Amino acid sequence: MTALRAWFRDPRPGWWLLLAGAAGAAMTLLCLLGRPPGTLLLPPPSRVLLAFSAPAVALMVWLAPRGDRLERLCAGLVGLGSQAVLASVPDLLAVAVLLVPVGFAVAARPGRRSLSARVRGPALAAALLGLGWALLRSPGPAWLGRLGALGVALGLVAVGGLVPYLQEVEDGEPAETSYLAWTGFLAPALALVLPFRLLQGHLLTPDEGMVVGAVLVGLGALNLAWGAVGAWRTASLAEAWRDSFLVDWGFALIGLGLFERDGLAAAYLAMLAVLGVRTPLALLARTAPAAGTSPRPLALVLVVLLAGAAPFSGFPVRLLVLRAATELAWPLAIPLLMAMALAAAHALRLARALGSPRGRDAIGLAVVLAVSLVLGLVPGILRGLGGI
Amino acid sequence: MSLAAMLVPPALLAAAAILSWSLGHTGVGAGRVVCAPAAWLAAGVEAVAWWWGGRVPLELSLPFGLAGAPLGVKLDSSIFALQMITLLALALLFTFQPRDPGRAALASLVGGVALGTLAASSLSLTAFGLSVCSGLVWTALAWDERTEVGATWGALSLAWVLLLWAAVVLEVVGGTSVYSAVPVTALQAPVFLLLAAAALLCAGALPWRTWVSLVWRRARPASGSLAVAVLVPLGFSLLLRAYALGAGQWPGGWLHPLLAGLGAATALAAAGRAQAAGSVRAVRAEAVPLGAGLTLLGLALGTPLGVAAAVLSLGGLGLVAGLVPLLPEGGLVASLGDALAFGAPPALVFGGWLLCVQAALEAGPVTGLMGLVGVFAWSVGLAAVARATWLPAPAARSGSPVGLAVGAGLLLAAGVGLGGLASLVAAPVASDLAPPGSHGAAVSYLGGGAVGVTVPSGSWPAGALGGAVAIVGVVLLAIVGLLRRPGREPIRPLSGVEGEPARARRSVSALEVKPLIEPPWRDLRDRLATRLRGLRVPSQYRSLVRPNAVAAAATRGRPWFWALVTLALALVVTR
Amino acid sequence: MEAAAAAGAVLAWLGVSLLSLADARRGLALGLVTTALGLALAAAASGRQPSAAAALAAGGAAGSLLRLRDGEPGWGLMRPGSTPRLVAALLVFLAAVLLVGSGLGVPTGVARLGAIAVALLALLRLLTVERRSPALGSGAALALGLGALGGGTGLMAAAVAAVALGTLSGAEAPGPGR
Repeated sequence: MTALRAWFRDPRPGWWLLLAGAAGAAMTLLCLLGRPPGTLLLPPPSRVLLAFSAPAVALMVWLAPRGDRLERLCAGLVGLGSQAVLASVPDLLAVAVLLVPVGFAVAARPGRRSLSARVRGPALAAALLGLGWALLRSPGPAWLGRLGALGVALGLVAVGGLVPYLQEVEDGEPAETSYLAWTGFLAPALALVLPFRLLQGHLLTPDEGMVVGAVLVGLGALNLAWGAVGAWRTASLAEAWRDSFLVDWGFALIGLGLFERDGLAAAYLAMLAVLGVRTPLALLARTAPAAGTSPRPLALVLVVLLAGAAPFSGFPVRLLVLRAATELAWPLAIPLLMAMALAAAHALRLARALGSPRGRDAIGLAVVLAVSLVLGLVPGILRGLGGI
Repeated sequence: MSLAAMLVPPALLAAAAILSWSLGHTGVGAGRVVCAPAAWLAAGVEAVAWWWGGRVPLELSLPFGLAGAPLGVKLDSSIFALQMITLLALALLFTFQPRDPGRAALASLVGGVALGTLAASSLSLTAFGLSVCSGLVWTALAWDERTEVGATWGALSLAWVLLLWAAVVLEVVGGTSVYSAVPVTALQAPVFLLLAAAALLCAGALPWRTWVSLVWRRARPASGSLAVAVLVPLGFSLLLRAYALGAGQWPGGWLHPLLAGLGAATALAAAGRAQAAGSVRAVRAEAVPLGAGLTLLGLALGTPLGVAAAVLSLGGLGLVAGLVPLLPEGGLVASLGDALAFGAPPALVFGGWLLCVQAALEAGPVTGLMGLVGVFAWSVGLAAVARATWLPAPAARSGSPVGLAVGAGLLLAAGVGLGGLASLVAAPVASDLAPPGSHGAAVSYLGGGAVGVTVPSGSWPAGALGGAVAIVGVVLLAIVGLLRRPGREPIRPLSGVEGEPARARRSVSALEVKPLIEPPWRDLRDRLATRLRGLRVPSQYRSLVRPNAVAAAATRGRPWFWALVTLALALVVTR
Repeated sequence: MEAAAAAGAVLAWLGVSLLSLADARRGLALGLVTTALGLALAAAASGRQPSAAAALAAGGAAGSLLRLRDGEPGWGLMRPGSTPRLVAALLVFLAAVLLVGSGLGVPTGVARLGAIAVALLALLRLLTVERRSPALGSGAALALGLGALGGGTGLMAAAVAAVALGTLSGAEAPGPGR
C-alpha cells in the first residue's frame, strides 16, 4: 500500500472524486456481473469493449505526471463505470437520462472552457436520443416515427461529438475533459449497443429503419470526408487528431447504417480500434516530443497503422465495410475508397506528431502497436468473443 | 516437396529477418551475413523442391482466416516463376548492397511477405499482402530518406485499396475471392479494371513518371531497389492471376488492346524521359519502366507467346532491379551495364523484349503497330544509354564490382540460355494461364531449346549467336580491363541537379547535353499544375461560397448551427 | 385522471418556464421543484408506477433543495434579455402539442405533452446559458423531462440524475477552469 501510495504521490484528489472513482469501479463490477438482474445487462460486444477500455485508462494513468495519477485513475474509473452503465441499461430512455449527469460530470472537471459550453453536446445528444426514442414508441402518424428515428440516429452522432455536432477543440485541454472523453471513450459503448437495442425489439418499421440507416450512412460519409480532409489540412494538430477519429467513426456509422452483418462487424471492430488504438495514440501524442530529423522505424510503422493499412487494425474494418457497402449498393464504396486513399495523407502528419517516443512513451506505443496487430490479424477471434 | 517449395522460402526470409534484428540488438552487425545466404538458400530450395516435386501445382487452405480473409497459399508454375524472379533480385541486393542489421532485417521481412503475397490463394489475401508490403516498403524508404516517399506511399496505398475493392466485388458477385473457386463469370470487366489499375499502380507501368522512376533517383538507392525488386513482379502477378480467374481470358476482347497500348505508351514515355534525363541516375531510373511497358505489351496480348514473353521479360526486369543499383556512376563498365539493362543483346532483357515485340507483331495488325512503337521505344532507350555517357553523375559511387559481375553474369547466362528458360519456365506458365484452346486465330507458339528460341515470325539463336557474342564481349572486356591500370580514370564527383541543363563531363564539357527529342508536352504537367494552383473563385462570387465560414461554424460548437442542421434534417425526414 | 394528467403537464410546463426565466438560486429551485411535481403528477395520473412517480418528485425536490446552496442569491426572474425565453416557452408548448397530436385525448398523451415541453425548453435553456448554476438547473430539468417520457426505469434514472446534478457545485470558478 505504501508503495502504491508513493507511486501515486500527493496531492490527493478531493474526497468526492475518490468517492466517484470507487462508485465507477463498483458500477463496472456490477455491470460485468449483471447485478441486479434485469436492470443491468452487459451484451458480449460491450464486454469486449470494456476489456479494451481498461488498458486505455491504465495508459492514461501511466502517462500522467506522478502527482496527477490518482486523480486520473479516479476520473478513469468514473469513465469506465459510465461506459459500463450506458452499455448495460436496456432501456434506451434511461440511457438518455443518464447521459445528462455523465455529461455534467465530465464537464464539471476543471478546464479552459466553461461547464455550460462543454455540456451542450452531451445534453443535445441526450435530448435527441430520449425524444427520438419516445417518438418511436408512441402512437401517431408515420412522420412522427420517422422524426423519432432521425432523433435516435442524430443522438448517436451527437454523443460522439461528430459532424455536424462537433465540439470546440483546444490545444492543451486535459484528455478527460476534451473531445476524447466522448469521441474516444464513452460514445463507442453507446454505438455498439444502439443497433442491438433497435434491432432486438423489432421496433423500427421499414420506413423508420430506412431513416436511421440513411442518416447514419449519410453522416458517416460526411464524417469520413471531413475527417480525411480535415486531419490533413487543418492548421491545429489537436484538431487533426480529432478529425482522425472522425474517419474511424465514419466507417463505423456507415457500417451501422447498413444494418448488415459485415457492416455491424466493421463498426464493432472500428469501435474497438478507437478505444484500443486511436485513443491511446491521441493520449501519447500529447506527451511525446516532436519528431526529430531521423525518425525511428517504430514511429514510421505508425504511419502504416494510422493509414489503416495491413496488418493493423484499420484493414479488417475497411475490408468489412467495403463488403457491406458493395453488397448493398456498389456506388457507396466510392466515398469509402476515396477516404481510405486519403487516410494515407494525414497518417504522415499524425505520426510525425507522435515523434520519436522514448522511455514510457515508447513502451506505451509498443503496447498500442501490439493491440492494433491483434485487431488487424485476428479479427475473427474478437468477432467471436463479441458474438458478432 | 512442393509443400517445401511453398513454405520454406518465405519462412527462411522471415527467420533471417528475426535473426538479423536480434543480432543487431546485441551489437553484432551481421545483417548481410544472415540475410544474403537466406535469400540464396530460399531460391535454391524453391528451385530444387519445385523441380524435384514434379512441378505439381499445390494449394493449401487453413481453417482460420487472416484479417478477415481466408488463409491459404498455392504454388503453380506462374507463382514459382514470379517467386524465383523476386528471390534472385533480392539475393543480389542482399549480397552486394551494404545494409545495417535493422535495415537488412526489414528488407528480409519485405521479401518474406512478398513471397507470401505471391503465393496467396485468394484475392483478398493478396490485397492484405500488398498492403503489408506497401507499408513495409514505405517504412524502409522513409527510414533512409524522406525524398519521394509521399508519391510512392500514395500510389501504393491506392493500389491496395483498389485491389481490396476488386476482391470484395468478387466475393459479392462470385461468393468467394479464392482464385481456384471463383466462377469464371464473376470476373466482369469492372472488376478486371480495378484489378488492372491496382496492378499497374503497383508495378509502376503507366505512361507517366511513377514511383518506380522516383525511388531510383534518390540519393540512397538501397530501399528503392528493394521496393522495385519486390513490387514490380507483385504488380504483374495480378495480371497473370486475371488470366487464371478468367480461364485464360480477360473479360472483354477490348481489354487486350487497351492494356497492350498502355504498355507501348509506358515504354515510349519511359524512353522519352530517359533520352531527356539530366543525370545518369535519371536515365537508369527509366530502365524498369521501359521494361515494364514492354512486359505489359506482351502480357496483354492474351496469346500464349505473349504470356511466355512477358514472363521472360519480367525475369529480365527482376535481374535489372538487382543489377542497376550495383552499377558504378560512370565508366565503361557502367555503360555496358546500362546497355544490358536497356535491352542490348544477348542478355535476358534483350531476349524477353524481343519476344514481346514478336508476340505483338504476330497477334494482329493493331498490336503489331504497338509492337513497332515498342521497338522505337527500345531504340530510343539504347540511344539514351549512349547519351548518358556524357551526362554528369550525382555522386562518386563506385558500385559493387563483384555484384556487377554476378548480376551481369546472371543476365547474360539467362540470355544465352533463353531457349531453356522459355521451354522450362515460360512455356508452362503460358500453357497454364493462356491455353491455346482459349484463343481464336491469334494462336502462336514458342519453341525453345539449347540453341535458341523459335517463333513463327523468326527465331533467335540465343545459345549459338548470343553465346558467342557474350563470350567475345567478356573477353574484350577482360582485355580492356587488363590494359587499363586501376585508378587511371577516376570518377569525378559532379553534382548534377535535376531540372538544370545537363553539362557534359567528357570532351565537350562546355556544351549542354540536350535531349535527343524534345516533345512539346514535356513540361505539360508542370504548366497544368501551375495553372490549377492559380485558379481562384472570381471576386464577385466569393460572397456566395464561403466554405471556410461554414467549417468555422461547424468546428466551434455553435448551438445555432446544431439547431439549424437538426431542423433541416427534421424537415427533410418528415416531408 | 385526464384532468390530473393535464394539470400535471401544465404545472410542469409552468415550472420549466419559470426555470428558463430565472437566473438566481431561488427561481431555479422553485422552477425545478414545480417541474418535478408536475411531471410526477402527470406520470402517476397516466398509470405509471406511483412509487416511481414519487421517486421522480422526491429526486426533483432534493435536486432543487441542493440547488439552493450556491449560485447567485435571490430570484433573478425575468431579467432584461429574457423576452426570447418567454416567447420560446410558448412556442415550445405549441411544438409539444404538435408532436403529441392525437395522443392528447388520453392521460398518457397528456403526460407525454408535459414531458416533451419540459425536455425541449430545458434543452433550449441549456444550449444558450453561459453560467453554471442555471446550466445545472436546466440539466436536471432535462433529465426529469426525458425520464418522464419513459416507464419505471426512466423515472428512477431521472430522479437519480436530478440528485446527482444537485450535488455538483453551481458556484462560478474564477478564470479558466470555470
